[in-house]
Amino acid sequence: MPYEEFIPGLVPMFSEKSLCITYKGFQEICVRRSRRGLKGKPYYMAIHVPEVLSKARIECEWKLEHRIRDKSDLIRQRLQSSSSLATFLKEFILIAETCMQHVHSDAMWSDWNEEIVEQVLEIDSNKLLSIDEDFSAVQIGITDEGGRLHKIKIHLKTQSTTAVPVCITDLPHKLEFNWATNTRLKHVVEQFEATVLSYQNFWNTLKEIDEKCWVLEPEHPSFSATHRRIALGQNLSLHITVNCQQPSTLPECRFLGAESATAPLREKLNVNLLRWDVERSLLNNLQEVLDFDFPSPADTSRTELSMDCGICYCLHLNEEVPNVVCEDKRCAQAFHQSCLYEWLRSLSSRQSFNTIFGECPFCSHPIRVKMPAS
Amino acid sequence: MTSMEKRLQKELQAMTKDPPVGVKVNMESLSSNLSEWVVDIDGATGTLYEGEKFQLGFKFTPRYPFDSPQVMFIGRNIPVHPHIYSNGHICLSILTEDWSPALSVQSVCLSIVSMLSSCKEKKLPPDNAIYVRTCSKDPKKTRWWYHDNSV
Repeated sequence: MPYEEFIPGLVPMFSEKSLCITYKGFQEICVRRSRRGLKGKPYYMAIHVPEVLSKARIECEWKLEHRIRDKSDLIRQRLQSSSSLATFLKEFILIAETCMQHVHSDAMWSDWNEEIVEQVLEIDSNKLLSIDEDFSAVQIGITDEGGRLHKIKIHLKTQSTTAVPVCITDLPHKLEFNWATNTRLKHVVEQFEATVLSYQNFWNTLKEIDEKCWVLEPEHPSFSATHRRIALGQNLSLHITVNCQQPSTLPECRFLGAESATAPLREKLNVNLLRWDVERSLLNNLQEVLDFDFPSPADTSRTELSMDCGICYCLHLNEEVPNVVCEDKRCAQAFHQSCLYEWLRSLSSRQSFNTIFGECPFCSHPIRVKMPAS
Repeated sequence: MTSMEKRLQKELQAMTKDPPVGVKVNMESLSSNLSEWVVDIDGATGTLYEGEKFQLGFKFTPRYPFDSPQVMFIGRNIPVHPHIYSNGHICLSILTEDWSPALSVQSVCLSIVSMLSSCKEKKLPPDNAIYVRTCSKDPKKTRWWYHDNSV
């Protein structure tokens, strides 16, 4: 066993179970040449030496490990040829120093990268989702009271930790955060977390609607979506835009369906508006004011509320939901604007400016549709 | 999936789940993108075609349901009917100029079944001989002259 009593900077530690000796400690490695001569920095390392030196295993802190990774073959070769640990260590430090200086000379690994890593390490590791390979973006996730995972992606400006990073979030409003030159990533995460907490009421309100109503649109609501289209009956729906700051106040309401069906609901909304009570949930208020129990997935099946387009037989066509309805209340068939337009156009129907006139394909009642935007 | 496939998928689901009497989609005939179907039709009881079996071939273009499907009788047994030519072509206005996307495979099949059922006398169309010799392969290319609406 090649036990060497004195290795500068490393302390030998004996294992009781095996014959392996571990040398732990710090070694100074020259990082760069400055005007005042060589600038060294101590790096932690541990060398596990079993019976023979050539089988030794080297562990060191990540900053050093990262830089000597490419030289692992060379290091192994030196290990084989060294007669003692002390001579190997000298060789090892020489290799490490060339690696350090080489890396410093090109921009691959800079103080900036180091700074980012330092800042990322300050963030709770449970919240860290990913870091881009080139350190240009960090993704953080925060789970709120309702068990919802909110993500923020922070795009960092390369080579500068003082520039304002660009943050991508899924919030109803753009994330506003204070930024000063000494602001660190953890501060951005703290502000994001505070913002997420401030929207709890809003998300809880929409969660109630998503669970208790037939929501036709959006198909897969994101956290930023403030609108919902709620099915009220066959070919009748309500489109609401919720105030994300005060979710229990009256949302912006639009009814979609045949005029004969939507007019009474609009009337009720106007008459009963005074009965709106901000202490109640948004859904309760809507049902109270409209004097109408919304069909829920618990008591109604999706087919009973057919809102599908009468032409393509689907609800979602790209981003569109059926938004043109036959005005004959016995028919009340809904269509995607683009499907109906396509059909009427193929009949070379009468067109005036951007509106095309024709007949409902189902009941022949007069119908008209505006040219789709695209 | 294209919008034609999506719609046909839904029509197929509805027809296999709740098939109308005497109408059955031949599942083996379906092409992978659903652009071709064969539907088995039974002559309705109490009519001239009772006990007979027919097959309808459907072909859909990618523009379905804006374009009507191509529908004709195929196979060995072509019904003898004043509006059905001996090559399988059907003279029925909803298959061409009266087509509407509100119609479907099911409603077309039911129209054809009812057209057969209301027939009083089994005879070929008066112009059958000349039509069969001169027509295009695609019945949709024929400029139909709808003789009458009684059957």
